[in-house]
Amino acid sequence: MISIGEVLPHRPPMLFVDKVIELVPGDRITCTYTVTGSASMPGVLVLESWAQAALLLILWDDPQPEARASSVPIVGRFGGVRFGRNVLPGQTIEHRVELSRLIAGTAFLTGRSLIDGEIVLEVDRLVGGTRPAKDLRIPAERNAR
Amino acid sequence: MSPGPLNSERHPVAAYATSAPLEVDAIVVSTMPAPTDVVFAGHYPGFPLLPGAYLVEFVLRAAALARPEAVLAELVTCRFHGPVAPGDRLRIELSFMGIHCAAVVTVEGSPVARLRLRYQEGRR
Repeated sequence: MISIGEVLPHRPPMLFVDKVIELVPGDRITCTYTVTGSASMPGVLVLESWAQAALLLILWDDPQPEARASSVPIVGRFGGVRFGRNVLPGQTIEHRVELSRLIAGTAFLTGRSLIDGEIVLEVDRLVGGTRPAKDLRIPAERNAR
Repeated sequence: MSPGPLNSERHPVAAYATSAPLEVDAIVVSTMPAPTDVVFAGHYPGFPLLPGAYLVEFVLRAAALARPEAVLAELVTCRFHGPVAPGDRLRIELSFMGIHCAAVVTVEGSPVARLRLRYQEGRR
């Protein structure tokens, strides 16, 4: 079984998925993240965690264990995101992601996150993929700092 | 002459004029994620970029300054136009219309994200 760190370039403290429950490449993924530490997890980090599950699905057959100039995983757009309650330390979030469409390397995904069957996040649409760093339009003077 | 300690421009002068509450229709805030912030250690090692979720967080916190009682119903759209690098100064400009809020995040004049928020009815 491939490990998550061999597919995603995210590393602690910014790695928010830790177990793959089900994966059908090119179709759907279910994975989990158990909140560590003593602080509750705000909605935006639940969204980040869900987005990492989405990236895991689209990068599974094209692993990116390191972000590099030729290929950087990015989210281009979110649409229709609704947050539930914050997630408490020790709770395990289950992320469900479905790939709706894949057009020229750009993925369209949808899904939700649950805790014990209660929805804590709904995402109607995420559009993302990987891009060469030069296409990210970091102006040269900002790069040079 | 100096202002008296009881002078205050923070409360309506009800005895003299209308006490209609002021409403904030637009707000501009700025912030700068420090290059030493731990977020960059993991996102990504050797290639630091601010996660888009952090831009959403900054916008929601700015909105809470202007509408402290409002309850977010939906992040309607969020488009990322460019990356944010460590040390970038973010300018976050929000404008409100009823239960809707539009936000633009810029770095050195270039938009890096545009968001639209919708709040619950009756909670402004």
